[in-house]
Amino acid sequence: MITFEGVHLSFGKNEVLKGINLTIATGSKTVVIGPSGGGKSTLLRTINFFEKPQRGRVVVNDHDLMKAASKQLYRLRQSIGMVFQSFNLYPHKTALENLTMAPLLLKRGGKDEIIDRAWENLKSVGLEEKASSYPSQLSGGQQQRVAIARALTMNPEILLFDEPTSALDPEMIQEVLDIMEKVAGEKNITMIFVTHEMRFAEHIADRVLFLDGGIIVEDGTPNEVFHHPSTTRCAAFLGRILH
Amino acid sequence: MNGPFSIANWRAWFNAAPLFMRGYGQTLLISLWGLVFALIIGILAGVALTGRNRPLKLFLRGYMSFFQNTPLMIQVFILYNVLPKLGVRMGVVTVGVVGLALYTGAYAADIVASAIRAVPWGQTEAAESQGLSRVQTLVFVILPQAVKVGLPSMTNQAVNLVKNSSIMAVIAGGELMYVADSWSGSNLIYGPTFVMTAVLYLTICLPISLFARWLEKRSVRNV
Ligand SMILES: Nc1ncnc2c1ncn2[C@@H]1O[C@H](COP(=O)(O)OP(=O)(O)O)[C@@H](O)[C@H]1O
Ligand SMILES: [Mg+2]
Repeated sequence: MITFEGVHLSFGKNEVLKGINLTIATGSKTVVIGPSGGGKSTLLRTINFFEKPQRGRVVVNDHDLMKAASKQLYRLRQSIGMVFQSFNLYPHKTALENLTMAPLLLKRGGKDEIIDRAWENLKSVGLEEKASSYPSQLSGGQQQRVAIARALTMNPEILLFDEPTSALDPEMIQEVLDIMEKVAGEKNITMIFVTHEMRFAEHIADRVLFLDGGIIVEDGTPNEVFHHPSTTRCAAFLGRILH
Repeated sequence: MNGPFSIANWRAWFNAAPLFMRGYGQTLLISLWGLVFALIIGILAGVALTGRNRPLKLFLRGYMSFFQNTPLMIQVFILYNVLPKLGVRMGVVTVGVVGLALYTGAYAADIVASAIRAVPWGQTEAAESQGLSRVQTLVFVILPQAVKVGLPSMTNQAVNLVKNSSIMAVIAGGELMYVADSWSGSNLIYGPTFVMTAVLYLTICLPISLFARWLEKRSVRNV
């Protein structure tokens, strides 16, 4: 479970999160939408403590992140995966090594077990035959699929996706969405997606949040938020992204 | 045939060749240890320069500014003539190694720091998002990538270091340049001496340069 209690976060004078109260249930799939600059990335990055709120509390699996020492944070982050817009694969490692490096270093299981898990995850994103390719030899879509497999190989309890398809060429978006949909359907991992892929959201999301100006403006099922938004701000935003 | 390159002069040089080979060995020794310590200084200082310890960074900037902006000859002179008066006594080889390490280390630190900065921030974020500590991130993710960026310039520094080791001649360092200088002076045979001395330096530096060029080509291909 992830809990935000009155979370305020500013960069200098720029207040980016303006009092977030939010509870995200274990195993649920949440989609966050909203205009650029609205604080979506910051919200995600608060969960793995890349950003530190000035006020309020963030509690992840009963750990109060505001009180955790950096050693504890490293440990907590092991079970909070993140998939980035720009993939951020390790270019000096093969696809398989990208999956195994951190779990081996951090001893997230025995060596053979980790390697088995990595193969299994590579298979499940359909890239078994690319195991010994380097990221530079892969397409954007393939790189993002490896990045998803990399996050899964840590055996996370929480997975955060920050616009995972925004940097992709249009023809590669669907393959990544398909993988994410499959992962969301199979795994009992708490997942939060920042994405504007509506069809994807309608398929997998239990809940959609509309974040604008550092405030959660709408919070409901995909049907409620997409088809019956209760605010004009959300309706206007949806109108813009759906043309 | 008379003149500086007479047969007699060449013959005299080849008779003295073992002396030169000893100087050559000394040059290799000083250069090798100098390089090892320069790299250690460069990596530690370079990492610190990209870190958050401001007083340490200020200190390192001071060290680098001094060693990059004063002649190596004066630095060696200080190590050899001034430090003993303050009670720090070093053998001539040690002076060579320390002098070259501090001088080259000041440049190596810059190379390491900018190589680290050249690694995209997303790499640090990816590693830290997986729960790697700062040190693990540095060792397993950032430095292996920085090496690729920095190695060509570092190799050029190694060539400079070997050539700069000739400065030890001013303090009777016993290395190649010192042998060349003193032997040619006392025997008045300059032609073959400096040709052959240049050739000997070339046998060390040229392979390193070619290696650097090869690395540069390879890294362009692999990006
Ligand atoms: N590291 C940072 N330093 C300063 N300002 C930042 C930083 N990260 C984000 N911001 C600012 O915070 C606001 C929200 O950004 P972000 O959370 O990235 O929004 P979104 O992901 O919804 O586009 C923006 O105004 C952005 O400029
Ligand atoms: Mg964003």
